Amino acid sequence: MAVGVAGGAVGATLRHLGTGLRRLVSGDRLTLLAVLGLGWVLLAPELAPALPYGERAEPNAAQFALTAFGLVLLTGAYLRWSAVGLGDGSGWWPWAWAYNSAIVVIKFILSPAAYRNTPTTSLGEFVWVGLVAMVFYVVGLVIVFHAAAHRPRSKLAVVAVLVVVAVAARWVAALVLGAGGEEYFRHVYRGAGVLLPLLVAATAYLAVEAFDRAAERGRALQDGFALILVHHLLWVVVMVRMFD
Amino acid sequence: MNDRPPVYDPNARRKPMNTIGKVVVGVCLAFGLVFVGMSILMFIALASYGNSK
Repeated sequence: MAVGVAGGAVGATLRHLGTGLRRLVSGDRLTLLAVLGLGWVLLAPELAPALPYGERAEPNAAQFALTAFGLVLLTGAYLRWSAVGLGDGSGWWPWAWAYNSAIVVIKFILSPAAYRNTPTTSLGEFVWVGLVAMVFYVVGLVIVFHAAAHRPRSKLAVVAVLVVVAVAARWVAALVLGAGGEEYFRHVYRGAGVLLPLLVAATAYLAVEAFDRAAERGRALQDGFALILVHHLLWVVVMVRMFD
Repeated sequence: MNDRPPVYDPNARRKPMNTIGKVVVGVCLAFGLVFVGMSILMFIALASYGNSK
């Protein structure tokens, strides 16, 4: 019986992930977000010299901040458009926007900073490890999805589990990927000081709140999964554009 | 002479904002969003990435 229930839950999760992927490549609003995002990550570094610190040697902090800012706005516009378009008045989208914004900050500001502070790692290795890290984001999202379905008594307990998963991810990556993975996570954590642990905890909390409010949790999982894919693909473009 | 203070009427309808008012509020909100958002992101970027010369 328990095995059947677990199998059903896994099947439902995989179906939602598959639907999210299909929507991304089928000309859905998600596709538009990906195309606009691609245009922005290519354009933003050219606009950065107009900002304070933007005239410094490239790549510079202003370029990453401007890139992240545009993606935060695009993500918010997509989520609101998606929620209003569906007539979803549950109010989950601002929370989804918030947790996705935190992911954008991690991927488009803290991660390039980590690469800059990791002189011994090649760009190819760094991008590869970053893509493997994407799996951990998806695992975290699935945990939040299932936790919300079971209405946990303590949301903080779910947040704690997610933070433990994020920390464990570092050690798993170190074991699976060897020195490259270890170095990536060491520099991501060290380069960002206390910012990264704070952002990870904030992201987890905001995601828990978003899924708790969502009227259609399956749709929230599809959107969350597709956004993780879009942000990671754009992250690869940014890393190659800025550092190659 | 009537010294009584005006009575609060919870059902009174507020006068709707005119178009110019909406545009002014919209522009202020957009400016605030850009200013605050970019300030936060620049702070994080400078703190983590550093101020490259």
